[in-house]
This record gives sequence, C-alpha cells and structure tokens, in this order.
Amino acid sequence: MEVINRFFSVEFMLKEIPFIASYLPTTIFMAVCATLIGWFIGFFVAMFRINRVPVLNQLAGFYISFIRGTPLMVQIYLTYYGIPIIITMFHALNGQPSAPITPFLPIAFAIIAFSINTGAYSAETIRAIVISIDKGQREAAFSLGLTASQTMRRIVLPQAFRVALPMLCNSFISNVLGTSLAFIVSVVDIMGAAKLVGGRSYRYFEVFVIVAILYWLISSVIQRFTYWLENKLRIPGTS
Amino acid sequence: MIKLRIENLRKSFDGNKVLDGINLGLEAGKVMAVLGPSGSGKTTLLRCLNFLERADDGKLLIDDVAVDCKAVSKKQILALRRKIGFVFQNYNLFRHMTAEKNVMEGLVTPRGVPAKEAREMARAVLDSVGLADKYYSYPTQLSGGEQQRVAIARAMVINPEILLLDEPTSALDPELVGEAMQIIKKIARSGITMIIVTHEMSFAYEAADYAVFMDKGTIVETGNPTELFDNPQEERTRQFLKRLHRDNRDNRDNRDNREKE
Ligand SMILES: Nc1ncnc2c1ncn2[C@@H]1O[C@H](COP(=O)(O)OP(=O)(O)O)[C@@H](O)[C@H]1O
Ligand SMILES: [Mg+2]
Repeated sequence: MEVINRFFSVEFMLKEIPFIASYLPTTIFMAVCATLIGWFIGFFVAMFRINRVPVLNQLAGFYISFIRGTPLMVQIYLTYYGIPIIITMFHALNGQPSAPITPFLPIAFAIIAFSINTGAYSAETIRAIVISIDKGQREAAFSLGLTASQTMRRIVLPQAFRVALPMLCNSFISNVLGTSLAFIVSVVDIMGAAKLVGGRSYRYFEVFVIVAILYWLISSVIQRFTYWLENKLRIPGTS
Repeated sequence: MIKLRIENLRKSFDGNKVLDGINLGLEAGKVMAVLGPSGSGKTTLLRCLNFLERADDGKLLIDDVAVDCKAVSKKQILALRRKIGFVFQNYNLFRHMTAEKNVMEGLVTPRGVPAKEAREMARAVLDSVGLADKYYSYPTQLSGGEQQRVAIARAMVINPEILLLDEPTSALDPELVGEAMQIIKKIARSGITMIIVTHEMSFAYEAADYAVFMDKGTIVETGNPTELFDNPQEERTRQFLKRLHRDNRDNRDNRDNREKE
C-alpha cells in the first residue's frame, strides 16, 4: 500500500477533488456562453449564406473557411493579442492614442474566441438543417398567405430546431472540452486549477485523472439530458 | 362573370418549355377539370396561378385585377394568395403541428384571427370532413385519406374564392378515392371557383363544368366534360382517353381481384 501510494495516491486525489471541482462553474459558464453566442452568430451567418446576401455571403464564406482551417489554440492567441491592438487603434483613430485600455478579464477573451469558433462550425450545421427542411413545407405556408419571414418563424425554424437540438448539445459538449485550452490565457477553470495543484504537489498524474473524470462526468450528464429532451420534443408518430 | 382569366402564360425550366402560351377563362362558381399526361405541365400551371412558380410571361386577371406575371410585386402576390386555396398532391401538411394547428395556421399567422376563434373555425371544418376525433393527431399519425382531408380543411378554412387541387386523390388507395371525391364534390357545389387536376373521369362528368386536356405545355382541347370525353375532336385527346380508360379498367380489375381474395 505504501509503495503504491508513492506512485498513485487515492488519498491525495480525494483531498484535492473539492478544490478542483470548485472551478467547475467557470468551465461551464465559458461553455454555455460560447455555445449560446456561437449559435447566435451561426444563425445569422447561415442566413447570409442561404439567402446569398451580397457581400455578407462572401464574408461569411471567408469567416467559416478561416476558422475551420486554423487551430483553436491559435484563434485564442489571436483574440488575446489582437483585441487590445484593435482597441488601441480605435482610440488612436479617435485622437486619443494614450487612452487607457480598460482591462479585460482573461475569461472574456476566452469566451470571445470560443464563440467565434463555435459560430463558424454551427453556421454550416444550421445551414444544412434549414436547407434540409422539405420545400413543400414552405410552399404550403406561402399558399396560406404567410410571408417569407412568417414562414421562417412558424414553419422552418420550429422543425429545424428539433433536428438542431442534438447538434446544439454536441456543440456544448465540445465547448466544455474545448475550454480546457482557456488556461493558456490564464483563465482558472478546472484545467487551470489542476495545473495549480499539480505545480504545488508534483502529482500531475492524479490531478489529471481528476480532471478527466470531471470532464467525462459533465459530458455524460449533458448527453443524458439531450436524450431526454429529444424524446420530449419528438413529433409523435415519428421515430 | 369571369373570375379568373389566364392569358398567354409561359414558363420554361432551363429552356424546356413547360407552359407554352396557356389561355383559359373561368366564370365565378364554375369548376374546371384539367387532364393530361404526366409531364404535360398541369402542376406547373397551378403553381404559376399561386406564384409558387414565377411565370416567365403572361397575364392573370382575377376579379378584374390584372397582374403581369413578369412584373408582379410581393405585395400583389400576398394579396392574390389570400383569395386562393391550394391542395398539394402530397398534401404538405406541417409535420410539427397537429391537424387542428395545421388548419388554424392560415387564420392565425397571416390573417391575425385570435387563437380561440381560429380553433373553433378549424374544428368546425375538420368536423365537416369527418375528422372530429383527430384534432390532436400529427400528420404521421394519420392515414393518407385523413391527411388529404386535413389538407382540404386547411385550404378551405380561409374561405378562398378560388380553390386549386393538384391530383388530390392520386396518392390514395383506390378504395378511398370515392369517399375523397364525395367531399370535393360537395365543395365544388358550394359556389367556389375550382380548378382541379384529376384523372377521375366520374368526378369530371358529375361535378365539372369544363374539362381541359393539356399536352406538352399547351391546351389541346376544352369543352364540357361530356363533349370532351365522348366526342373528342383531337387525335391526341382520343389517344390519351383511350389509355386512361384502359388504366381505369385495369385498376378496377385489380381492386375487384383484391376484394375477391
Ligand atoms: N422546378 C422544376 N425544375 C425543372 N423542371 C421542372 C420543374 N418543375 C417541373 N419541371 C418539368 O416540367 C415538366 C412539367 O411538369 P409538371 O408541371 O409537374 O407536369 P404534370 O403535373 O402535368 O405531370 C416536366 O417535364 C418537369 O420535369
Ligand atoms: Mg403533376
């Protein structure tokens, strides 16, 4: 027992779980914000693409291709270093080159980066779902006198939502996991807390076992919730 | 009084002339049955009347309001659609709504009828097509015949002046066709102006004032149903009717055989 304890201490793990777990709210907060803001962005980007809005459609295409073609970690750094520069330039253009930059919380940079990333991925998902809604559904609405926007609101989106929901939950799960990169801009979430504990005790392996179990637990809970919600929203008589 | 006049209606898909100068007129309260082989442009004709398809050229006169199909505005389209009911060949019921909500939708959203009132109206129409026990059923929980009646109820509840039906019974099992046609006949006699694409000759004989034979995007022949069916003037009409009689006979034989088994 003594020997094993030297390499892998369950006792240590039990002692440190509460501390690391106390940062769960930060992890979940980032993931919730990134998913909601991301899908909000994604919805508009998808609409620009579907309706081929001039200029915005091309911008949307570039945005999606750029985000999907660069690593998330690079995007976080670009946000972290880029936003202060943009703010400074903005001040300079307004004739106040030395105006102080209001300090941003690290978590704000992380949420911005994750939202922009989620926006690009969800835009393609949303576009595919909206396009997949049978054209006949829209035509039936038109024939009753609904306008294009009424048709979107009453017919297309409610049907799209049912298809999108599992994907929204998957996106949430991947954001929960993705936020583990937020420590690189010094956000203290469960990953950040784990690094602190690891550095203090040199028991990195135990610490990351805790982190792995925590991530896995959250993902499983969301997955369960998704199944439940899918069942609840299912149109009766469909499989 | 002329309710609907179609002048020189043209529509091509990628150079394929699907409607090649259609001219038709229909008086208020009359019923027109349109027949023709598959691909002759019947569906496209109905869709152009409702602007689900934008005709390339031509003029529509509805109640003396002239519309140039090339230059019609969104506002005009919405105004015209309010007068026109459309029953799709495959019904296109809203999949996420119950039968009752399907019928209510055209009242509530575009016309602003309060939900309570709309529900009463929807139920009355559903009752009249024999669906009093299906208010809360979703389309997937309904049989083909029931779906079709919901589609008719949905088109009728808005009290359209003109009703367009695209082969309303073609997706039904043969034994359900008679009953469905009974309902449509009742509507036809209610004073509505109706254009119905159908190959049910008995319906055309009994309920239609005009029969129109279409082929390759043109009107080949029109007349009252008895004239057109019993004494067609054009060779193409004769050929088509001969085939139709044969198909109907085969269908009937199949049905009889099934019943014997
Ligand atoms: N959206 C479309 N795009 C291209 N071709 C079409 C489209 N709709 C109809 N067509 C063509 O137009 C012709 C007539 O079609 P349709 O009006 O459906 O005929 P019908 O209802 O008499 O069977 C067919 O050749 C069909 O392939
Ligand atoms: Mg057709």
